[in-house]
Amino acid sequence: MKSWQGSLFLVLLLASASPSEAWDCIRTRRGDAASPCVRWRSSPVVVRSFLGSPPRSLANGTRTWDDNAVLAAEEWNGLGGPVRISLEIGGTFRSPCGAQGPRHACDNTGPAGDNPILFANDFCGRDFGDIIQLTNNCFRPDTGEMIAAPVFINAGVLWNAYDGPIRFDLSTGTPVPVYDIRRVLLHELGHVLGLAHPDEAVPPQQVTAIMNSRVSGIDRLQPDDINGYFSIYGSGPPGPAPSPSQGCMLVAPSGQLPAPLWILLFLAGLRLRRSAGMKKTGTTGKVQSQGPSACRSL
Amino acid sequence: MCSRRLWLALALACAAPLLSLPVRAGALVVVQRDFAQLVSGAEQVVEGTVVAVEEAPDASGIQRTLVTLADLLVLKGQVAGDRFVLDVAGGEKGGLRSSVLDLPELRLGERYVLFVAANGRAVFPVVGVWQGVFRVVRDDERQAEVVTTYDGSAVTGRAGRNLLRRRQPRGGEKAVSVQEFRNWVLEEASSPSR
Repeated sequence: MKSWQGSLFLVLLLASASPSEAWDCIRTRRGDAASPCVRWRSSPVVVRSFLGSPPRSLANGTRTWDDNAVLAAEEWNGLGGPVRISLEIGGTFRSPCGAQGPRHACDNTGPAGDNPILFANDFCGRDFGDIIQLTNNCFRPDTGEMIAAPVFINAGVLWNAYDGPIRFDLSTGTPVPVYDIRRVLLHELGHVLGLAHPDEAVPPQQVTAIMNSRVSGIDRLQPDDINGYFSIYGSGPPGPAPSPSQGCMLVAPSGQLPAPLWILLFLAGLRLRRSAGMKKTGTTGKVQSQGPSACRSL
Repeated sequence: MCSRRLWLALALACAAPLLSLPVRAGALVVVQRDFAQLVSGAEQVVEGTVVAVEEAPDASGIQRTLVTLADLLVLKGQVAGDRFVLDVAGGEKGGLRSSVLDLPELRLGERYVLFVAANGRAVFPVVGVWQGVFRVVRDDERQAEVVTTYDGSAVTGRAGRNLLRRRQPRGGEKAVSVQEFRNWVLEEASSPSR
């Protein structure tokens, strides 16, 4: 890569951004945008998928729900950031439901570091209502350390796995949404990592993001999601939250760009990063950065 | 070759603003509900001001957040007493906080219209979660209280079963007054089809 090409990309990226709108994170004090982001202090974050298999293959060609959890984790890990998700399928299941105690770090979570993904008919006895999935984040408000984050998927709605616009089941004569498990898990793993909804931030942000709380055809991480991840974790090893001045150039406060421009800039950035040495390894598809980090490669 | 592709990408990126439209986007979190469904699905529709947000354990020792609304107007259903307590999952205990991120936050001193269902039994007992939470805010220019959605978009009208909402109302559009919004709820609740 020629250095002037990277410089041009960076100049275009920054020149296009305005500081008014951006990602949001889980805060140590809810509703206080000045309080620190909650974050994991070590990597990898082990997440265990207990979703199992549907009766037949899914529309995106995968065979199991768990495969889609792996794909969602791969997408986050593909950023090459300092905190990875180690997505494991099955293992010892500890019910997250129960009051805080030796087996529950918080109410309705498992012990520290236990992050199952499960289908459930309710959230530990409470109806989901119109919620189709949720993550119960358990953290220390005083230090901002994430402790546990089980993910509950509502078993009472229709699921499949597909890309693109939201699909509907018409078999009953009334269109019923069929939710895409992969993008939903991508969203929930964002919560596991500490990201919140930008459209519910204070003040609300209007950005294109998988982390928004609204329905759309968005099915992949967007630049705003990526900015959020790197702003929480920086590009070095996990540890105390970086001060705002410690962020790298890529994670400078982002603005609202027209979606196509963001996507193209992101793709151009990925291309530059790839040339700096990204390698896909292993059958689980975990991606490890072997070269400079995303920020430094710029 | 690589250089050519890069330049092509950059050229397209520069042209993109000319081609793009504003995008309202997000991920799936809740079942979508229209206004008619909000009304029909609600056991109570209450308007009130948040006067307390407290955390307390339920009978099984699980922490929950209790949001108390006062200065109540009950637009559908019945409420015992002059206050209404919304029972929401999650809270802080033992120096640790459990927080369900997908839930709206009702803030002290703010006034809301809530379409309540399964209070005390659901994670967030409002139909459509954020969709059934409306803010009542002061419009100083009009000297009136108007209604916005939870995310601050102005509710500007109705179209069939749906509400019209605008992030930034265009010329001539205004957020509806809270009185007009109340009337919509009452009309919808008394509709023979409900």
